[in-house]
Amino acid sequence: MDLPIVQIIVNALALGSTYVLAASGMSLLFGVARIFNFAHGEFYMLGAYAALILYQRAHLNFVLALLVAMVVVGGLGVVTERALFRPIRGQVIAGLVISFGISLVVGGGSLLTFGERNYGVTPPFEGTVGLLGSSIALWRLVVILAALGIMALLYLFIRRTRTGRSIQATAQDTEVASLMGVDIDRVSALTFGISTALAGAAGVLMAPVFAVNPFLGSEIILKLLVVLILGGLGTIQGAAAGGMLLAFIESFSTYFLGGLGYIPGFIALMLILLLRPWGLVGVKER
Amino acid sequence: MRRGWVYLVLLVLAALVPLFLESPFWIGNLVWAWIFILVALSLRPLMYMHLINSAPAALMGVGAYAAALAATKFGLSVWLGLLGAVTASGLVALLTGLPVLRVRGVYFIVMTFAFNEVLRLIITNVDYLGGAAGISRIPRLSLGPWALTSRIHYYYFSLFFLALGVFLLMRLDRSRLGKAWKAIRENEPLAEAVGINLMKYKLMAYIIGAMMAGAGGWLFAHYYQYISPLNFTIWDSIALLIAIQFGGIVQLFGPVFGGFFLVLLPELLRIYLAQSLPFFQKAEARQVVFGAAIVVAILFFPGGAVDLVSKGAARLGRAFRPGVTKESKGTTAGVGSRGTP
Repeated sequence: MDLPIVQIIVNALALGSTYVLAASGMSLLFGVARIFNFAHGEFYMLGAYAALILYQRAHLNFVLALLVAMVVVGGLGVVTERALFRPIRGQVIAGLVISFGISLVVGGGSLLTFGERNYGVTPPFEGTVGLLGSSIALWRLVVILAALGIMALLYLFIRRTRTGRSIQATAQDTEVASLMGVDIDRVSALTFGISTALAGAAGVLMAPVFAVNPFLGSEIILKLLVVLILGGLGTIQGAAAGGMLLAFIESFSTYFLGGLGYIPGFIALMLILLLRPWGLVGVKER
Repeated sequence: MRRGWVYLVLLVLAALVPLFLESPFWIGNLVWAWIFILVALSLRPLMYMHLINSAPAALMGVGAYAAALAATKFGLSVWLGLLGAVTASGLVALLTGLPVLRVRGVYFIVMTFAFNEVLRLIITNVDYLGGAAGISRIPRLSLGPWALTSRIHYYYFSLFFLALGVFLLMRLDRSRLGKAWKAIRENEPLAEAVGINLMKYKLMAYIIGAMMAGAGGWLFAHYYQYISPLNFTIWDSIALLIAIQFGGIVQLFGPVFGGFFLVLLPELLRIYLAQSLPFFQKAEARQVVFGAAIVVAILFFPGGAVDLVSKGAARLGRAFRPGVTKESKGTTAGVGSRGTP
């Protein structure tokens, strides 16, 4: 059969890696602070622009650019949490509305600053490589490995360090965690920072794949919503499951169905909403 | 009905506005404001119980499409269209509410977001429903032989529906339904323990709200005479949520106030800001200002402007009433200070 299955799978894995990176932060933040960050996509977009500025224009080493971008975008996240989210901690709608306002400001601001045009970022590793008989774009493999690495570090941090455990505790039961001595202020700020740093990283990695423009934020946020519903909101595992699932559905659907490619993802979303609204990996809370 | 008088006064004031306001542009904006507020109010029954329905625009869209189809494809009278709109949105609420209300409250908001997108996708991709191009040439309303043609007609007509909505919610608050809602709001596990069927009352709140939103959609369809999926997106739902958050939800007036803020602010920004500073003629510049305004507004009025004001007023009221002191209040049985026997 003439099916370029290896290519489809690799593309799905690469796309999925991005979704997982971007969605993990959002899911984690929701789990810890009950903030549904509508502006999360904008941090992704900022990451992409960081790649443009630091790597493409200033010719910084790509890894360095990635690190700097993560630190900067993460730092922005911490500042945002302190200034804008702490005063309304606990109020879910207020958080949602404020995050929406932020998305308007950042999205509009980027449009004003950078203009509408699409910018390209050349991948640090161009060209293709032969894999299982098909030629695969090298950069996609790099994206997969980089995302894997970052997620592994995240996992180790959350599971094995003291700070990571305090984040887990806050997610499980904020009140009890604070009674046990966890500094909720610090955990909230840190989680927000990690969340946005992950989004920024995803943006940096995907900058060479798709065009860089100010609309990236609003485009990806809807995808992330679907990812989190499919996988389950509140946990990193949920984001991972949902991200990979959506990416695979999308990749195969676009290949087989072309213009009607939205249908399978749509069906999956409906099924999950009707049968298992807490997501594949989520736990039905009652 | 102490609060009722306030609303009556406001209604009269609103009714008098067109006598002084000449500009058809602003009258038109106010028509949209009444519809918007009606849909914002539709969120209130659920929100009162801490359940955030983030798909009000989609429910409005269901109503609008039902009305549009009834009028254009089926040639039914506009009043049957209203019935259809309200039934359709109520049904959608029933179908989507059953699975989604099972999960814990905080997840309801995300799910309803998803339903919003799903509904929009369905409408966009089913050609019978007009597809991406929407449905046009929706007829205007007519009360018997008298056709509603001008903006002022619609101003009063939608104001009437809004008043009806407010009245309905006020009555519901006092009914058995409203009391159940209040119980669920105050202490859900306790309400359940006392025998209140949570699912039933939450569903009813959802459905009643949806029917209100559907009515708003019917108004929308017949006023603008053209609808498309782009009128009922997630962003429109978010606009409604912003109105609610800014205005507050406990007082019925909250969504009214918030609705005004949200409908009129962008227009005012467009007109006055763009005129004075050319930089703001760019839509994205105004977007930044609007976003910043939202953030600032929420930070200043975290519980909702109207709720804060009413709480502040209540506190002022107590400060001026002498004689109510800690000592003069009785102690509840078993609790509170007991003197030494």
